[in-house]
Amino acid sequence: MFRPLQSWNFILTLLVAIVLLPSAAVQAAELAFNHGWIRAMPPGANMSAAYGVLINTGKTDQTLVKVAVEGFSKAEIHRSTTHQGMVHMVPQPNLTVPAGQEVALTPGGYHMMLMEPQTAFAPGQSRSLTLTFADGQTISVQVPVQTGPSGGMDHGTMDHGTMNHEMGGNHKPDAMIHGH
Amino acid sequence: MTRIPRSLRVALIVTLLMLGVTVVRVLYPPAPPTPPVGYSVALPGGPRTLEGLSLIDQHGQTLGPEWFRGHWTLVFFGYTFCPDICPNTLYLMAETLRLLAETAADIPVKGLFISVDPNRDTPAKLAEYVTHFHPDLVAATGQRAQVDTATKLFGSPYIIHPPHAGDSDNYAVSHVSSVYFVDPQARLVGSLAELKESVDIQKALATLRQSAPAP
Repeated sequence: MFRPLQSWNFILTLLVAIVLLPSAAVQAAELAFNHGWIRAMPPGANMSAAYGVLINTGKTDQTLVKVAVEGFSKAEIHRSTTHQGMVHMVPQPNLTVPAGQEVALTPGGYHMMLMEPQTAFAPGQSRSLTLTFADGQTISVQVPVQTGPSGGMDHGTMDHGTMNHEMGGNHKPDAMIHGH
Repeated sequence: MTRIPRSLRVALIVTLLMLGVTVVRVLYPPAPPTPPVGYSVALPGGPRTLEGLSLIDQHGQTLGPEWFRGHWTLVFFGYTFCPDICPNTLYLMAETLRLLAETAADIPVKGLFISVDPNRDTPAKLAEYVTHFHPDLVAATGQRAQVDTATKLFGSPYIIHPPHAGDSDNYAVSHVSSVYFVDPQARLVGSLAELKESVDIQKALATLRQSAPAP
């Protein structure tokens, strides 16, 4: 008769699984996407771009293979590339973040091209952004819609009197390009 | 005297060498990087007239060389179906206009977005597009021949790539990402590549204004 709790093999397997499970969680925690933002676009625009910094604090290279943004039908990784003095976008099937390094997605460089917005998107809103990596890991983060990189607040139309100004770390992602 | 052991001899020689290198580096430090001389944005060959320019602005009005007189103009070539470079550059141009309005209101500066994609960028679409970034931005385009004249005058080539299969309105466009500077005498006087922040545009404009040749 099968008596699991009396089987050392079973207990051992269970223990190994319990030990491995948190390390899988730790593995996911070694990948992060920080300072993400989606560019607010003019009305009628059928596309936009998302930027941010991919951070790999783990010991193995990680390859981003898919991106998705809530409210857009499609999202792809692109790279604005200069050739013969002219710039154009080159689709990137994937984007590798080497172990211990960061890759910044910034205007004029790597970016996520977001297509066919299903709903209007404007500064003050945020969208869920999901990144899928080659080993199946995913990261989901809430990303704000902004008019520009550094907080992108149109001060001209803001009522500063009602605001709680907590502006820490006005981070400029384009100062942090480490990856290729 | 006992011979110094070989390993100790080697260690001593290496240490002395390293000490020597350190002394030399302290006495003769490497020269610090030369600070940039200032923005070299002036057009090689001097200012160029815009004679022959003929475009249609976002209100359907003709826009020619006369439009540029009396103010400095930042000019950028692009297209609206552009998710990265174009909105970013227009954002930076708009930011520059806002800052200059605050800090240098006596020097009129305008911004002009020229679309190289009249097939998709109608004047109405352009009006909607540029005013999102700044209410005073002007946009213009034209028939293909007019666009080509404009890009030749500015030295700003572009390519309309073949459309993707099955969708004649889905095609890529290559264009130059520089911002061009036209002086109040309607002459092209400079361009700025490698634009990163709006302060780059401000500095370039300041440099060009200082060295503005007499009309």
